[in-house]
This record gives sequence, C-alpha cells and structure tokens, in this order.
Amino acid sequence: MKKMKNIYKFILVLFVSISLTNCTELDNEISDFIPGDAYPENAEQAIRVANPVFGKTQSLLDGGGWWFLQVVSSDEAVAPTRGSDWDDGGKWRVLHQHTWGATTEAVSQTWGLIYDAVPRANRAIELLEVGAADNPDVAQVLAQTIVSRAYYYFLAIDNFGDVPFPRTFTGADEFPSRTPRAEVYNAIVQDILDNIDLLPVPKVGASSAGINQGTAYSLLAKLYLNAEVYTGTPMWQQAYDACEKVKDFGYALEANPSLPFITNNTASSENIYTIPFDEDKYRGFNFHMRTLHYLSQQTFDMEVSPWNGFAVLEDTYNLFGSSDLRKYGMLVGQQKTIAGVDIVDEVAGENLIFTPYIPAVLMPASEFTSAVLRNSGVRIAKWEIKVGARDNLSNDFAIFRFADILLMQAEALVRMNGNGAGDDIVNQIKNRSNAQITGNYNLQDILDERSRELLWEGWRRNDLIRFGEYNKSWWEKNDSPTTRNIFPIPQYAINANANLLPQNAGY
Amino acid sequence: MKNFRIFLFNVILLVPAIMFAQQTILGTVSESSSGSSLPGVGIIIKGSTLGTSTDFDGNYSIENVNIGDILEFSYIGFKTQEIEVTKTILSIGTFNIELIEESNLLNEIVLVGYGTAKKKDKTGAAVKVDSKDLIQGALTDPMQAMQGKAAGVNITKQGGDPNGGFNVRIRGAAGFAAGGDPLYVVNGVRGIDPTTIAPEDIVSYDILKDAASTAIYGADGANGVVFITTKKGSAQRVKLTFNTYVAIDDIANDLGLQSADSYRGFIADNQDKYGDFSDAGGNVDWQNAIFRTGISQNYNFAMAGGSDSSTYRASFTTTNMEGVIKNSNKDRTSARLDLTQKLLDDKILVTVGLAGTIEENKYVNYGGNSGTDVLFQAFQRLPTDPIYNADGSYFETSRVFNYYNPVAILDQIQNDRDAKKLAANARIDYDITDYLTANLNLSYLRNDDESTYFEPKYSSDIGGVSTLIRQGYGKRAYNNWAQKMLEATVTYKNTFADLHNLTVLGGYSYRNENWGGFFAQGRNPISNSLGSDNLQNFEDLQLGDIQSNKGERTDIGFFLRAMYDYDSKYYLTAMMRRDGSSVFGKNNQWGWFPSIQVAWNIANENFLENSDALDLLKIRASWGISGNTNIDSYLHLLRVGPSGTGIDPETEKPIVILDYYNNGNPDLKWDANQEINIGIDYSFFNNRLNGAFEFYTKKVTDMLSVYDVPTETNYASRVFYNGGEIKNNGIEFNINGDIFKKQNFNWNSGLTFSKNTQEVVSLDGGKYNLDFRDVGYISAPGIVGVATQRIMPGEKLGTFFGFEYAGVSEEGKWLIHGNDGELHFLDDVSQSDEHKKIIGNALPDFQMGWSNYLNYKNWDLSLSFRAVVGHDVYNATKQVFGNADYITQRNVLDEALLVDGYVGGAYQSLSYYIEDGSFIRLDNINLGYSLPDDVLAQNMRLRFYASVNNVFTLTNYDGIDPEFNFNGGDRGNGEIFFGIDQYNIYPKTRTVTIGLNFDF
Repeated sequence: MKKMKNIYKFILVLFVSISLTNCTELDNEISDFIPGDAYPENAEQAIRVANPVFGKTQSLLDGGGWWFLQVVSSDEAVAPTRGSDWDDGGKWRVLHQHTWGATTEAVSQTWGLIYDAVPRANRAIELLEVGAADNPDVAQVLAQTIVSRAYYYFLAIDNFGDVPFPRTFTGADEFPSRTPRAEVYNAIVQDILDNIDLLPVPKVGASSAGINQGTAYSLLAKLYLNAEVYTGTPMWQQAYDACEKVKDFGYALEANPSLPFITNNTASSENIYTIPFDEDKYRGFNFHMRTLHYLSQQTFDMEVSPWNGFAVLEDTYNLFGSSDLRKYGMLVGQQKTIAGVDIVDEVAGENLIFTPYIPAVLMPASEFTSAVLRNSGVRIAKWEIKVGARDNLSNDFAIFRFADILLMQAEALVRMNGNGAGDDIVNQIKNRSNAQITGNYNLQDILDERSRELLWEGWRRNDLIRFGEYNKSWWEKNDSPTTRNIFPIPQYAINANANLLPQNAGY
Repeated sequence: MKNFRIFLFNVILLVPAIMFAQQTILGTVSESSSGSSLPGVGIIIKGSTLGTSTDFDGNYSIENVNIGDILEFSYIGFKTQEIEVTKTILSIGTFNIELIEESNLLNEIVLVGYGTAKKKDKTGAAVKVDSKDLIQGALTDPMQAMQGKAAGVNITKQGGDPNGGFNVRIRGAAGFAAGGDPLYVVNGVRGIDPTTIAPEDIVSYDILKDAASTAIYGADGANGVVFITTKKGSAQRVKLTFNTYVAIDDIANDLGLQSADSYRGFIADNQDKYGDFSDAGGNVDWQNAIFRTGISQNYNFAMAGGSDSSTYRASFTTTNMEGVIKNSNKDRTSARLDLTQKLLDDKILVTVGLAGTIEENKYVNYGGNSGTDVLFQAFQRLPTDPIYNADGSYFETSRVFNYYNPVAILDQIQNDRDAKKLAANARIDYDITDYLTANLNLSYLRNDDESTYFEPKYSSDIGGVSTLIRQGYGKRAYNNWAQKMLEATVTYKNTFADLHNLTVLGGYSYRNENWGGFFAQGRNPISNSLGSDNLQNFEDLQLGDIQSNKGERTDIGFFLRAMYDYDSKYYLTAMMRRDGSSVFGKNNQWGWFPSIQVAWNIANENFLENSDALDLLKIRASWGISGNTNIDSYLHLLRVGPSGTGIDPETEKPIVILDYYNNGNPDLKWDANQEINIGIDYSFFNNRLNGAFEFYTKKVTDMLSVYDVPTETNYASRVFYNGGEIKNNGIEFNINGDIFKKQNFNWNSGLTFSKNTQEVVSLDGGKYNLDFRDVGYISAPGIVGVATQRIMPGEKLGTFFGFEYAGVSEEGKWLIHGNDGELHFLDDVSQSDEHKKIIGNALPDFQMGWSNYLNYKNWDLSLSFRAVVGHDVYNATKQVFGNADYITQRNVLDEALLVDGYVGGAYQSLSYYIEDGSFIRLDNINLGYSLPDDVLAQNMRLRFYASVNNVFTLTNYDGIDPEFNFNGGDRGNGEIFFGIDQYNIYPKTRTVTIGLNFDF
C-alpha cells in the first residue's frame, strides 16, 4: 500500500511540475523584425511608407533592365560579344537585332521592376489616405505617391502596350487582365492633373530627387508628346503647354554641356527629376563599368577594373560635328593614364586605342585579333568618372532634364507648325554645345539633335518609335516589324497569371 | 553345494546391475568451434535440484543419474542443450559434449526512440551499425564511416573539403526548401551536431527509416532519425584506450587543362587564327600551385572504469585536418565525460554527460566564379602566365574580365572561424516498481562561433602602371545558439501468463531554441597588418554594414506508445504523438502523428520451431505519419524590417528603408510524410546469414516552400506555403553473412542495395498555378542566367531541362533537335522555351554497398565498396573550359583544342554536356595487425593499422569526380538542385592513414 502511495505521489509531482512550466505554451518573443500588423509604428514611419515606391528608380539603370531595353535596342549603344565575354546566352545581341523573346532577361526585369513598384504604390496610397485629411505632410506624400505610380505606368504602356492596371491594394484582383493602352493613358494623365497642385514647388538648384511639380509637368509633357503612339490622337499643343509650365519654375541650361553630368551634379539647374545615386549609400549607377576598358582603370585611377564592353555605334558617333563640345564625354583614340602616359594594352600587344569602327556584334577570338575585339568602339564618359572611382558612381542621373524639355517643345512646334518653327529653342541647345548651327530644322534634325544631346539618357527608343524610325536597319540590325515596338509580356508573368494572355502580336 | 555356488555367482553378477541403476557420469564440455574446454558450465538433472558444474578444465562428474533423466547443459552465450540419459550412456559412464555458441544477434538491443527493443522484436525499418562495422581510417566526419553500410541511408559528399559536411538522406529527398537532414539524437539528446563527436567514442548508430518508427518524434521525424550512442564506462575494470593516426591526403584526380607546352604548341600550329596571342613567358601548372599534400593527425585518449554502483568514462580527442587546397584546415579538440551512478538500492540510475568541442576552421573561397574563388581562378588561368614577376611580386594582368592570380588570393585572404560547442545532459531513471519506470531527461546545448574575414588592399603592376586589384574588405561575425530540453517518460512493462508481453510508454517533450548574432564589416582598410582585428581600420562604411539578429522557437510534444507481442510470435505496436511548434501558423500549430506496426515472426511458430536453419523470419508492415519542422522561425507572420537603404528625396541623406519581407500565412504547418513500409527480417543458420528486405511507399504532402506571388494583391512578393507534393517508392535490401567462421579465419560480408523512384506530384498544391520552376543556374563568363534544371509535376527532382544536342553544322554552329522534330540552330531558338525538353536526370537509379571483414589469426582486413548508378551529371566545367572561344584568353580542356573547324561556345543548357556519372568506388581498405596475446600483458591490446580511403573509382565520367549530393543545393528559394559540376567542388582526395589502437 505504501508503495502505491509513493507511485501516486511521484506521478502527481511530475504532472504538477510539467504544468507549472507552462507545458503547452508555444508563443515566441519577436525580436528582430516588426510584425506586419504593428506597422507603421509612428508618423515618421508612416510618411516613409512610400519610400520603397520612389526608391524603385534606383534599379532603372542596371539590375532593372529598363535602360538596356531603351538604349541597347536602339542605335545609341551596342554591347558586342568580345571573344568569350558578354555573350551571356545572346541576351545583348538579341536586343540589338530586335530578336528578343518572352524569356529575354531585360524584358523580364523591366516588367518585374514596374510591377514591384505599382502594388507598393497602391498599398502605400491606402495607408496614406488614412492620415491625409488631417496632416498636410501626409497629403503631400500621398500626392507624390500617386504621381510616382503614374510614372511607372507610363513606363508600362511605353514598353508593353496593354498592361494590367490595378489601382487599389485591398481587394484587388489577384489575376488581373490587361487594360488597353489608351485607357491607362487617360487615367494616369488624369491622376497627375488631379494631384499636381498638392505637390511641392521645385527648388531649382537644390535636390531634385523628390517628386515635385516640375516632375509632374515633365511627365505630362512626355505623355502628351507620345499621345499619338499611345492613343492614336496627337496632343502636341498640350505637350507644348506642359513644357511651358516646366520652364516657369526657373530651370536653365548650364553654360557648358558637361556640367549637368559632373559627379556632384545635385545642384545642377537642369535637373528636374533625378535618381540620387551615391557610390556608397545609393548604388546602381555603373555605366562606366560596362563601357570602359579593363585598363581604363589607369586613366581614372579607379579602384576596380571595368568590364570592357558597351560602346556607341559608329554612325551615331559620326553625328557629332568636330567642334561639338559634347564630345568631351567620348573616349576615342589613344588612352592615357592619369599621369598622362600612353596606356599599353599588353595583352593586345599594342597601345590602347579606341576606334569608332566595330567590325561585328559577335567577335570570336578565332576571327579577330585581340586588339580589335578588345579595343574597338568609342566609349562613353558623359557622366564624369571621378578620379579614384569605384564600381558605382555618385553622379545623380536625371530622368527628366531641362534640355530634354526644350527639345520636346521644339519638336511640338515643328509638328504643329512645320519646319523651322522650333529653331530658336534648338539653337539654344546648339549654342551652348558649340555645335554647327544651320536653320530651318525639320523633324530629322530634331531627332538628330536629340541623339546628340540626350545620348545614353534612356529616351532613344521612345524617340525612334515616335519618329517611326525604330524599325529601320542599322549596323548589324535588319529591318524589323512594327510589332517590335512593344516588348512581349514576359513568360514568367504569363505563367503566374494566365489572364495576361493573349501575348502581344508578333511573339 | 553346486546350487549355492550358482546363486552366489548370480548375486555377484546382479550387484553391478543394481549398482548401475544409479550412476555417476563423467565428461568434458567444450566449445564446438574451437574445441577448447569450457569451465563453469552448469549441468543439472532436469526436474530435480541436483546439479554440478565443470571445473577449470571443463570436466564434470554428476551422481545419482538414472536412465531416463534429462541432463541440461547451460552456459552463458551458448545454446542450452538437453540430453536424455540412455542405457548406453550409463553403461559407458562418460559423456562429452560440445556446446554451440549462441549468436547474440537476435538479442542485440536496438534503439527505437525513448526506449529500446531487442533486434528480434523490432517492428519497424530500423538498422543498426556497430562501430566494428564502420569504415576505418581518417574520417573528416563520423557520418563518413556509415557510407554504404545501411540500405536506404545515402551519405554522399561532394568533394573533399575538410570543412564541408556530409549529406545524409534517408529514402529520397522529401522537400523543396525545408531541410532534408535526418534528426540526430546523441545519447538521447537532440540538436547535437554529429560532427563534434570523435568517431572513436561512438559505439553504434541506430537508424529509423520508416515513418511508422519515426512517428514517435512526430513533427521532426519525416527525414528519418539517426541515433548515435557513445561508449560508456563499465563496472569491470579500469580500461585505458589510446588511438592515434597520421593521414596523408592528395587529390585523387585533377582537371585535364593544358600545360604551357601544349598551349604554346597549339597556338604555334594555328598562327592564322591566334597569331597575336600574348605570351607572358610563364610555365605554370596552376592546379599544382594551389594544391598541396595535406597531413592530418589525430589523438584520442579515453579512460573508463567503475564499480557495481557507478561507472565513468572520460575521453579527449584532438584532430588536425589539413585540406588539399592550401590554407584550408580544420582543427578540432573535444572532451567528454560520462558518469552513471546507482542510488536507492539500484532503483535510481543517474546518468550525467558533459561534452565540449573547440573547433578552428580556416576556409578557402571556392564556391563560385568571383575574383576570390580559388578553384575557378586556377582553372581559367593560362599556364603561360607566371605566378610571380621578376621582383617577386604577384603577376597580374588585364587579360580578361575577372582574372586574378589564385596564389595571391590564397596567400592574402584570411577566412577563419573559431567555434565552441558545449553539451550537458542529465538523466534520471527510476524503477518505481518491478514493472513501472519513470525517466527524466534534461539537456542544455550551447554553440558559439566567431568568424574573421579579411581581404587586404592589393595593387599590382599592369603594363607598368600600379593598378588596384582589390580594394580591401573585412568582416567580423559572432553567432550563438542555445537549446534547452526537458523530456519525461513513464514506462510500464509487464508479461502476463508468460505469453503476453506489453510495454506502454507515455511521455512529454519540451524544447526551446534561441539564437542571436551580429556582424560588422567595412571596406578600404588603411592598414593591411591590422586586418579585421581592429575594425576601426576601415575607411568606407555604409548603412547596413552593421547587422544583428535574434530569434527563438519552441517545440512541445506529447506521445504514447504501446508495444504488445504474443509469445514473440505476433507483434503489434501503436504510437501517437501530438506535436506543436512555434514555427507554424496560428491555425495549425499542433498536429497528430499516428503510426501502427504489425509483425509476425514466422520462425517462432510451432510448425517451424524445429527448423535448425531458421532463426528468424519476421514479416512486418507499418503505416505512419511524421512531419518536418526544419524551417526558419517566424515565416508564418507578415514581417516588416530594414531592407536596404535609400535616400531621403528632400535631404539626399541616407535612410533605412522598412519593407515587407514576406507575406503572412497563419495556415503554415508541418509537411506530412505518410509512409507504408513492408519488411521482412530473416536470419538463418544460427544467424550466420541474416538481413532484411524493405518495400516502402512514401508520400510527402503539404511540402514547405517559398513561392513568388503576384504583388498586385500581396504586401510582399514571397510567401511560405505548404503546397508541394512528392512521392517516393523504393526497395531496400541488405544481407549479411559469415562466409567463414573458423578458429583462425573469419570472413563476414555484407551487401546493401537501395532503389528509390520519385515523382514530383505537384509544385504548389494548385494554389499558385505553378507549372514549373527553373533551378540549377550555371554561371560563367559568357553564361549568365542559364538554368539547367526544371522542377515539374510528373517528373523527379533533378530533371535536366534544355536543348537536345544534334551535332554541329559545317560552319561550326551548334544544332539542336527541336520539339517540332526539326533541326534548328541553337542561336536561333535560345530566347524562348519552345524547343527545350527534358535531357536527363540527376538522381541515381540505385545505390549499393558491399563491405567485407576478414580476419586471419592476428590480421584483419576490411574492404568497403560503394556503387551509385544511373545519375546524370551536368558537366558545366567542361562547358566552360571546353569552350574554344576562350583560346588566347583562358586555359581550356583538350576538348576545346580538338575541334575541327571552329566551334564556338554553347551558352545554353545543352544535352551535350550531360554525362552518366555512375561509379563504383572502393571507399576504404583497412589492414590491421594485433599483437598476439602472449606478447602483451594481460588485458592489453595493441593493434597497428594502415588504411586507404577512396582507393579507386571506376567511372566513365569525364570530370574530376562523379559523386554529388543527391539532396540539393538549396538557395533558400525553393530551389533544390544537384548533380551540377561547376568548377566549384573542392577536389576529392585519396587518403593514406597509418595508426594504432592501444587499450589496457
């Protein structure tokens, strides 16, 4: 009997001790992240809720794929396969030859960038609407977010035509189908018009990284200028008027064409809307790595060796007159070290000389000498490469620049009133660049001036399409069908959402 | 007078007859195999209290024996024999007998989770491997000793990195993203890293393979359970052990790249194409320059002893392993102490274990193709580029993108780690009554490690100009992890009516893990000598250079198991476990894990009882569900946190951006592994031949994985979700036989075979319309964003997907067979999936192991073979270095030089580069000599041995080594892929070891 009592006692003790330790408690402490339902924790975080939306522009130039689609598919830049470098499964050659497909990387990346930004914007807008009535700071951020979203949708219709167009977050359709281009166009134009007065007034010469009224009118100008492409109905007058509004803020051309592109160009009077790159804190600007030769490291005393690839097309290079100041940004001929000594390419066995002539877009080592495949092509140093540069630059990149606005105005005038109507404006640009002034500029002249002034700034494809030139042949590219004016919906997006079908024509 | 004489004669005749009726029998008892006599054998007259035993010489004499009595001879370790006394025996008066050794095999104890069972009674698919059966020699990891020893337990290691672990997979991959490692339980404690245990301390491995057995571990049992038991003290006498070895490691195979002569010769023969080749005048075998002969040593010392009421064992082991890539190293020192103490009249047994390990690792970067990856840089570098300049500085050149001197990398980069692990556990077993025991098991584990990484600032002369090669970077990191565990069980064990055996176990388990860590990094050091030892050294700091993390998880389980058998003939085991874990969503934190096992030991049936040949023939069937909780914590919550830095648009100052990491999923739960297992255990001829068959079908549903979701409606672009489903079916077979068992010569041989067929049933359970997932991206100069494998429903994991090679056109362009039956140029079709198809599979068809142990007098020899057959390998190394486009820029394989007419590189996933990786490998030969007993003192044993690991490999595979982890490289993105040889595998080595074992 005693033994039995001991057993019961023992079992009782066991159970009691177990239950005292909270034996079924599974909740864990949350330490190194904020649970979603507690976010935003305060007003400061609330205002910052839209920052990931604005910050998406950081990826436009490199990992985002957008810049490659605009520039490498045009006659402005080529990324030839030099020996075994830059083949990458042909993804650069197809951009040049207009033979891309639904799995081409830059196409997928661009779509991904846009549809990463858009839902974040929708979500941020919902969060901000809550506080906007009471707090003017929040109301301003709300307006900025709406205009930012309009910018991304502009990229969407510019590149893909009919696109999915969600405008809310909560309760949005998980598998949206595509909205016609014109409908999206009208909606975003209206969004901008509705919110423009809530945006801050730009301070020319201060930071232009934020969305302000200058940004909004510039975006409107771009939309109106391309209205014929997007909707079939041209809106040249509205484009001209929007440009006038931009001018009213006091932007001005710099005295020298290189000044808007220096390393510390934040205060440039030409900046309207920039991506505020910084080599340490806001990385993503690495054109110099893609275009410069390995040994250009010695020219700029860089801390890393560039990747030797991208160059400008010879014909585009030849559009510049011999006295054009804008050639400062073109590296051609004998390259020198920072001390002024001629650089020798020891692998090619000769001096490092960049030649404008590039023999082919595919240059295997068995058919071309090292010198040719390594050193051909004029390289672009339009954005200052500072001494001691590393793998990212600190120069701000202007998405909207005043010189562009001026040329858009000139174009609108010529479109409406015929040749010569834009001469005054175009000559302002030509004057400050010491370019050859003639007169009676027609559309082709406008297009060429845009090529010279806005080289590698990301507008070439958009321009060529508007002028009807995108399908012509140049260098290693043949004539391409007009269906190539928009890119295919990426395969991965279709796989995730079958409502995106049918695919764009021609793919 | 005549009558009286006759009467007297008859009486005289009769007297002996009467005397013979109760006689004494004498004799000798000896051992049947060796013939030596057995002292202490018990002899009794059955049914009486009369008995005796043999003396020192094995002689006995027993009195008062009658005709018809049964004499029973019994001795521990030998089969009891019963002899009926006949008239003949009595008349002879002597009877000698030989006793046959009883194999302990069937009575061997196997661990079944929170308890044990005799091998003959087990009802699940469990395997035991004893220390004597393990592979010998210098092992970088105790799990290496198990390769090929247990069917269905597939242990592979890609390459020979001493700092890289082994991959253990039981019965086929069972997950996309969640880890597939089995649960390791060391002396009853979970969470201990098995690599911290010195192989000399291990007694045995017990492995539970089927879900019905592992269901006792509930939500952790899906990948199998491996029990490791270490040696304990004994009450007999103090025993000292000393083991030591020296091992020499060399690479087993290198890549067939060009030498300086062959490269120059080729260029000279092809001046028309390569006339402007820039020859830097060197003559270097770069593989030779980065490899070395690694010399490793190991010392193990143990002391064990005890008394009737307590035992102890203390051991100390230190190992230094040198890898064959220069500057890669692993030093490990561990000590353990195990004590047992009986209390309260032997009713309570207290067991205490303490173990500590200190490890110092020196790592070498080799996993990719960046500027600091030594293997890639060494493979690609031209043999005509010298290592050093005339002034002794490293030779560097701008020959091509990402081309750096690997000797400089090895000499300059520091990548070290210092780790400490502590494990403490205490266990109390209390025999409450004869049939009721209670048990409490407490343990505490703690791991800490600290890492240091430094790349010095480094400039070199290129073309006469000093050019910066590396900017310099440093990082220090510190991590810690701790686990507290409490387990309590009560066991009831009884036998009713001598026939019904019942064991009932009930228990509770509580486990809490917590971890934390931080790191700091910087760039551009002002002083290379300060390195990362003083982090103030770095001039470039950015937001995000300081990071830290912290988290915890809790797992709780309740379990109940009943094991019943009827007269060791019919068995039934039923288990149920209820498990909860904090890593799952609020709606699904708890789950049930049932299992049931039945078995029938045909050999014990009456109709087979007299069969001498058959010792065990047990048929068993089991069904069970186990789960997998091997995922990160907190994934079920919508999480927001710092995610990079941004610029405040107004002030252009850097700010921290808060963003959503992943979507919440309150339904997140364990993945369910449902398995049916049918097995046959057999043992014949006094256990001289034994083994098992297993057939299993295993279905994993609700597999955990990461999915990309449309962000139109979701906060984040990723969610963790239970969606996938994989089926595995297989057979396992093992047979073990004592081919010879004589006094002077033994030969034991064992064969294991396993075949697993797999099918991915669904990628996402239908929720995200995921038809496939591209994985296995290869990366090389010119090859970016090319995926070689695709996970799709209806196929196995590891399915290669790409273009099917159809030859080369006359102009040297690659041709493929399109899906329309036509030939196409590869370049024309590479931008879409239209003509891609399945071109191979990386999973093996079957795996086999064959082990042999031979023993002749004082010599012993063991041989372990292993074969893995039927797996394909994507030889990306050949695709990269067999590329004729590289000539004059990089080193190439013979393949690139042998093309007739120019064939440029193929920069897509192509079947041309898929090869059969089947191989047969002699994993280990071990030859040992034990000094004879008469040379040594009593109880001393000294054995010398020599061992070779990775003796030879028979394979058709063209690359360095055909062995791969068939479990997957997981990038944590639901990307599980394997079987890709991408110049990032630490070379496999051949090791020669000599050592000695000494105990006394």
